[in-house]
Amino acid sequence: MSSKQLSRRTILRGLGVSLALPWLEATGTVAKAATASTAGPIRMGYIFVPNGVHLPNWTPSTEGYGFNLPFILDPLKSVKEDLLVLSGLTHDKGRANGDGAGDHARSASVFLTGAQPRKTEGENIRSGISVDQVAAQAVGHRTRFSSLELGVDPGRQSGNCDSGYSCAYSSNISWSSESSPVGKEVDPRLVFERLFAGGSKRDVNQSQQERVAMQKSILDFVSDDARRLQSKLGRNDNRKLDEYLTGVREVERRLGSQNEVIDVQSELDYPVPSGIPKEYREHMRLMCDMMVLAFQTDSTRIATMMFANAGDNKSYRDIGVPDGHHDLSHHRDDPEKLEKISKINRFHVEQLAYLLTKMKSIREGERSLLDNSMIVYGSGISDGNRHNNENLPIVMAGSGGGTIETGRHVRYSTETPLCNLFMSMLNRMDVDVPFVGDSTGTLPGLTV
Amino acid sequence: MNLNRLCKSLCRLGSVLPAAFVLLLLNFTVGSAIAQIRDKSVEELVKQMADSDTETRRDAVYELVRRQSDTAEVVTGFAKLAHDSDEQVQFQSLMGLARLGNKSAPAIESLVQLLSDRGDQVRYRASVALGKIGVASIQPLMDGWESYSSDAKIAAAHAFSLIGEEAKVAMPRLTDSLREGSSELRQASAMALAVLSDNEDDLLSIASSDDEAVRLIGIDALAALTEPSEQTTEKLTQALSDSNAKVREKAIISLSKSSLPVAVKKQFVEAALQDESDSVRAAGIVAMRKADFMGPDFADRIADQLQHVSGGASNAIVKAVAAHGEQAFATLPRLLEVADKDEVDQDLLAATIAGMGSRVITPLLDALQARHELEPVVSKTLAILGDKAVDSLIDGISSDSEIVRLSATRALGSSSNASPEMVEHLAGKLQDVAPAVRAIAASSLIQLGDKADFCKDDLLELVHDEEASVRAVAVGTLAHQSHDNEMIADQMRSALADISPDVRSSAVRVVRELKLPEALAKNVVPLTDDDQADVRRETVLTLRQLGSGDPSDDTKELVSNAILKVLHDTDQGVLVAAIDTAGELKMTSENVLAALEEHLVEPEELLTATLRTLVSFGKSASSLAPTISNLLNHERPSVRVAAVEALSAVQPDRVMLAGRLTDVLADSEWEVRRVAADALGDIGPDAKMATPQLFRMLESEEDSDFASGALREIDAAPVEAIPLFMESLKSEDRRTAFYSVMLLGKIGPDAIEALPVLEKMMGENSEGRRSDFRTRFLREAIARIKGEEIKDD
Repeated sequence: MSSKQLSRRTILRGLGVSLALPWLEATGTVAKAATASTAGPIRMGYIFVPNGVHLPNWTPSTEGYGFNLPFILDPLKSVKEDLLVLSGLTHDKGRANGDGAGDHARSASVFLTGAQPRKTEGENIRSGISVDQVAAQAVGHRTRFSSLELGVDPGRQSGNCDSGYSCAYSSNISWSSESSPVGKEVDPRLVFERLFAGGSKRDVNQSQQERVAMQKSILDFVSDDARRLQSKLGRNDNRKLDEYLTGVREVERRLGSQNEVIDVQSELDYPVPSGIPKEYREHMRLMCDMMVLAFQTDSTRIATMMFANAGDNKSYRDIGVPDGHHDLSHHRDDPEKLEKISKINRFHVEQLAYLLTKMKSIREGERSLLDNSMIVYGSGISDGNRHNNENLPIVMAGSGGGTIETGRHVRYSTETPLCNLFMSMLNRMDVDVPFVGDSTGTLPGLTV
Repeated sequence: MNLNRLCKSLCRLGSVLPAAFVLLLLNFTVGSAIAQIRDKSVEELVKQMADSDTETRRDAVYELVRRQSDTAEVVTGFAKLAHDSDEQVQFQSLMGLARLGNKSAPAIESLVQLLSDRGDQVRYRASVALGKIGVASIQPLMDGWESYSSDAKIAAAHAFSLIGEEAKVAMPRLTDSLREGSSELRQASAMALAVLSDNEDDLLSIASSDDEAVRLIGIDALAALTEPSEQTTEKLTQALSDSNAKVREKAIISLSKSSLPVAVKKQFVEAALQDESDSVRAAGIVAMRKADFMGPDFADRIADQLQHVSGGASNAIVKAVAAHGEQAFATLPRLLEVADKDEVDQDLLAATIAGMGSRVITPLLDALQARHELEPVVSKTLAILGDKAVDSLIDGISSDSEIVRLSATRALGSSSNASPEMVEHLAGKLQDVAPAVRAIAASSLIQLGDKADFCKDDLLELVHDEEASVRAVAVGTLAHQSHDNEMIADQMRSALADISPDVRSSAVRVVRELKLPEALAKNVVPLTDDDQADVRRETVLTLRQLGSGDPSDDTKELVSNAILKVLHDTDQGVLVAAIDTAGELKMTSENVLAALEEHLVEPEELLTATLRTLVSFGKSASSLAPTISNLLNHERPSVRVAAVEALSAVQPDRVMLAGRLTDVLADSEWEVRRVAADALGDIGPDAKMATPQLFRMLESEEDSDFASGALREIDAAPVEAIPLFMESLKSEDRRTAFYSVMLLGKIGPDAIEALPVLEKMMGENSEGRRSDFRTRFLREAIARIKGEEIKDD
């Protein structure tokens, strides 16, 4: 079947299930969903890690092409050519600027807003609109979900979490207005259901209960549609579809669908998360899978993720670090602590590598999903001990549809606002705004 | 209910309600607070900008910036507040002026003054505002140039570069600065000149600077020219031999994009590939790949470079080769030579080789027989080739060579589009003579999911394979098959008793992963005596899962007894798992506490694990409080930190706890002091004995933050501290003086002797010498000492 005969909006349907399709040759580029002029739909993702990093083990010693990957970034070896390590960028609004302690809360709230949060425990919180929400408000209508906010730690939304700063600052990086943080979803199962549920609430409930009772997969419900579609697709598309469905099944299996049921009806009364894996690594990876599935099916083009909340103090026994992360970040140059904090930083980067590798393996015409994306990973604090906000650890992956020259380490002069990077990213998403946060313009040097 | 109280209620709800609900309520609540400021007119906000209260001024400037209000009064207000003592008011006002662009022209004089400010950030923000104002800033900036310090000139140069072409009149001054002052000033001037000038001679002059950083800026600017002159091309060519690698890197990229003849460009790229710098070599390859002017013969030649490069350059070369697809077939031997280099991306290499087409299969399999270490990349390549390699793979799995069979089997399993025929061949390998092949076949079939369902009985048979390694894999695969749990449980009963530790370990993991019936607990428990520590550790983790949730009383007892026994294990890893499990299952019996007390000694990992578990026990572990208390003097800070946390959790007597923690405030280690202060804050007023010590810590730069936090939480002070606080009322340090006032107030009527001094201070404040903030706390302290009611402002 030619591309003219198969709508790009084709979805596989079944009782209470609606499975969007990935990029297929028969549907043409997903890009056409967005605009007729661009070569691919550009996705934008942001991943936040708390407590800064140990910079000597993060920053490549050389600039330009052929840079080295230090200990923390080493897990990104296989996607090195898809990376842009950006040094020297600053979030001035993460600094105290007269407000004293509370750097951790500030580091999260400023990360995507570039706005100074008001020091308050909750009565009158004020931050700014985050870059993802600026994009979502401009182009979010082009996809099923304007944006996706993911996380791993639930976190409180009110109360004092850091020296007089509301927990809303520590637990969120996405803000739809200066006073409205966008709550993140931490239960991968709920995200999965949200991505693939379709039809009436009753159908969705019935489908979920039947899946649990009969130990069925979501794919069982769309099998008729899938078979019909497969008969119309060419060999390559059939392979792509099979890869995609296998991927969905694999994620579903890991979610342990046989044990969990979510009563969609009860969503009205705010569901209690029930499908959260016990292992932190698996939890992070499942959330990464959700981001990939959402991007792959063009369900959204904008996503954020918090690998942990600001100032998080969980221990990482699985990698031999029983100490709390935040406690360790106050290392005071103790070599033993520096080694441990580097291990935690590296562990987080390993999960980033998992996400990026997966995105790179998904083809969208001549490019990969990663090529068509801009994924920014980093922290709002540079060094956890000094609590400084200049020279932030930032790495961007993906070439934004071929508009960014990757495979380099670029250093900017201190005080260059991180928000200037966000402005450059928004431009690539066709979002025209005069500024975001404390931006002073766009960021030079992304292309050569 | 007032807003404050409502918010506090929400804070408490925050710990029990889902985020979305709390956010909804919070937004509703906050909405009214925000609405108050939103309802104000610009005139009201302008008036508010002059308020003596910092928060009030902040609110006004944030709101005015948000609205992008551009009246003359707003600009005047921003210009004034650009010199405010509060950094937020100052920076937000500067941002407001920048955002208003040329409408902020009346603020130019004020902004120019700030170029001489001591603060880097102030100068930077003022320069941005001047730059955004544009043309009107030019003359005032130039007028003061001669009197500027070097830092002010750097900021002015930045403003000129933001203004752009219209600031060309400033070029002579900037050119002069290229020859004077600091390197930073030279760079800032060069950057501005590069933006302002469209004259190649100017840029060539910058590119010829002796200062490397300035030269780089010049080369960068020349490289951006779309139609470079001969002179520029010559300069860029010279730059290929520059002493600075960054300059050489810029030069090669720009030359490769130029309109020079292909032959010349090839020559440059070849030279770059010989460069001593990794980054220049990598740039050479990138230049070649992007410019797309090299043929397949060149791919062959650059592949020679693989032996001589390291780091990212290797992958860049492989990527460049990949661009030539099938035409790069001749490079295959050289690619295989570097296949096992650590830095070479195996996925990229496999994709590159696969891109050469199916003719690579035979040489690949030949190479594999000679070099077994190529197995990963060969298998990946074959898997990528998929349909194109299917016949070869089916031949391969019947090969006489074990390594070839292994690779073909792995590749078949990794194929994303395995046909029923392929799956059938794969299933046949479950009976291969080589154990490694049988094991790979089993794990490959599992990856294929439902497609391999038909051979699940064959997989099941492997659970009884003669080779332990195969049995271990086969047992592990059961966790991913659609067998009935009862049947798997039967298999596990024998696997748990297997002679091989790998099989036992795999089996005990399966029990955990599949959450098999509690009935298996009695088969799992004996493995706590296993001679292999790994098996015992896995067993403890499985017992933890069996004991979680709501097990039967029998299972609970079985698990508890087993964990109690393992708490005496000799292996440290097993012990840590057991101690954590005791905590998670809340095993607070006397026997367990006695066992745990034995672990409150070295090594540190056991000690801290035990303390963690005791934290989860809380007051149930109060009998161990004296032992934990001794650990507050342990030589290692991490142990002392854990001991503070554990003691705080288990000690039921809050006053006794406060006394012990007060001693800890004198610890030599910052983290220990911080944790102790936090714990004292958690105790609240019962910890008032710690107040004098915490108060003294306010003077320490590193302790003051957490000490003040604890003081606020304790919110009380002992009478004995009155002389200390009175002495500190005179402190130059504002925070110390503030806390003296506040804490005297907390003592109340007993602090009557401080009243005259406080009232005198209050009198001075009334004369306008002090801030409103201080007045409020003085008033409160005086009222408390007098026993009067505190009135809210």
